[in-house]
Amino acid sequence: MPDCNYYMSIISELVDGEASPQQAEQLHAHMEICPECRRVYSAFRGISDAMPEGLVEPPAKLAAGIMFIINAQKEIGKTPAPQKIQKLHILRYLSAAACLVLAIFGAARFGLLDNLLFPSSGNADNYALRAGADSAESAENDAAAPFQENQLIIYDDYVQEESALDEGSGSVTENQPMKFTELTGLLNSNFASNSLFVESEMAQLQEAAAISLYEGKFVPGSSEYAGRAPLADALDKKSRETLFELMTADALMELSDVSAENLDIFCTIVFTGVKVQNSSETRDLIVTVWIYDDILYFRLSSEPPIIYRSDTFPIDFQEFFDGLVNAKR
Amino acid sequence: MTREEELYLVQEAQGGDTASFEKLVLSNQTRVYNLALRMVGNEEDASDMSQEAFIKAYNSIDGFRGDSRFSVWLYRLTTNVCLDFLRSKSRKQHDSLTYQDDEDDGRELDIPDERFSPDTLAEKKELREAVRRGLEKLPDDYKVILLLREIEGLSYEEISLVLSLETGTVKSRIFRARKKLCGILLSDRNFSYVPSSDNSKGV
Repeated sequence: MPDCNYYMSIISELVDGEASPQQAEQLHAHMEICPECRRVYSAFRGISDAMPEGLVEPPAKLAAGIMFIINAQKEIGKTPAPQKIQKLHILRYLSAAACLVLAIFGAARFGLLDNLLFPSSGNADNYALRAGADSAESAENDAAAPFQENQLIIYDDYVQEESALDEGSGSVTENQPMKFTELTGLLNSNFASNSLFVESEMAQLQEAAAISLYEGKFVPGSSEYAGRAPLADALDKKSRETLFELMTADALMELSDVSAENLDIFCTIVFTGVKVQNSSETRDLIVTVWIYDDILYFRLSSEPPIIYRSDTFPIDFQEFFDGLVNAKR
Repeated sequence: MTREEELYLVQEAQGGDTASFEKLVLSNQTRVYNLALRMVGNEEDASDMSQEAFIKAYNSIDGFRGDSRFSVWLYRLTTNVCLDFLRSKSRKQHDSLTYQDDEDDGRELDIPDERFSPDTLAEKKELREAVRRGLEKLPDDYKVILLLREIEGLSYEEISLVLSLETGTVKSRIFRARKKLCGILLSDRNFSYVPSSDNSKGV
């Protein structure tokens, strides 16, 4: 005759509906005559009934954050392939004037680089359309045109001094098209400290009529944000220099619509009255700043939305921002 | 979502389609988040754990063969992520703490009393509160198995897949977890109402 130890072990199963019909029958029969087992059963039932009920809704940004990181991983490659970083000799081929093509920010820049990298990918049409729209750029475009036909050739000139990647696995072979993200990283590394902007852009931006910082999201000229005052404006020269030092680009990512809408924008920087090369026009440039998962991201006002992962520590940027805010008070 | 739909999305995700994975995230995030929340006890850590679990799922999605439901696989990742987190947290606090208490502590089950069978609404509420407090005090392995069984409603077989245990071990561990929980409740000074059916118990 089984003793209480045996019955005790099936009590749990009965509570969970996992006992076989025979076991259930046995146990019920036993409990009629055994108060201890009855009390244990009733206690187990009691705590089961008293378990927390109802599912909590996860935070709205959970899914967006997850997809953001997954897409970021996808863009920048999950396992970084160690390669010697080589100076890209594209500059040797481009005339000084043509260099300025690279300095055009926004969609045109993106399109241009695409075309250089993937000459047969059909981006040529896009490029031609964009380029044709602005006659000031056409001279530079002609200089760059011959390279639309060729593969990009990479010369083994020198290794970047502070390579973040491991040494020692194969150099990039000639005629191998580079990933766009690697290219931009290289281009940026040609200039001061991985800056988000190339040199000539930076010169324009530093001379911008005004640089204003807004907390969170801000859209200039929209009625929704009409009443908003900047948290800091009229940055002095030192602040501007610091700002540009902080705005570094480590890698590029694309955004899905979900991610873009749901993530918190830390601040928005508006550069107004930025002179355009070789033109009397001025433009505004809007840079959105995200901090997510302890990484800083910058997005330039361009279509499609591209954001740059930065290697600046978020805390450094936050301190800079706080410093400006406090100075204004 | 049916199992076929799920498998389809998984296959697409295996091919690199992140939009399909996003659908899987949206469909499973509540379960994952709730398990994590009960495991780690606060929203911020629960969000981190959920995120880590889903990202691990994406990165190792080639390894999902469809033998079980995707949610079971996710529960497994979530459980492991949470247990690792709790272990490293407790390691920081107590160097030589052994969190695992799978041994029978040798005591007879303290026979629970009538407080476990509440009659009135107030008594029920008090038991609920006591159970909630008691769950938090359980050793991690007992806590997770009760959460999977009671909150997520998994069967013994599903639990054995999530925790990589034999079904027999699942049964005995659930029993010991409940026994331990009862013990905790009995020594909970705040679990102190006088049951309407018995005058001799008290503060």
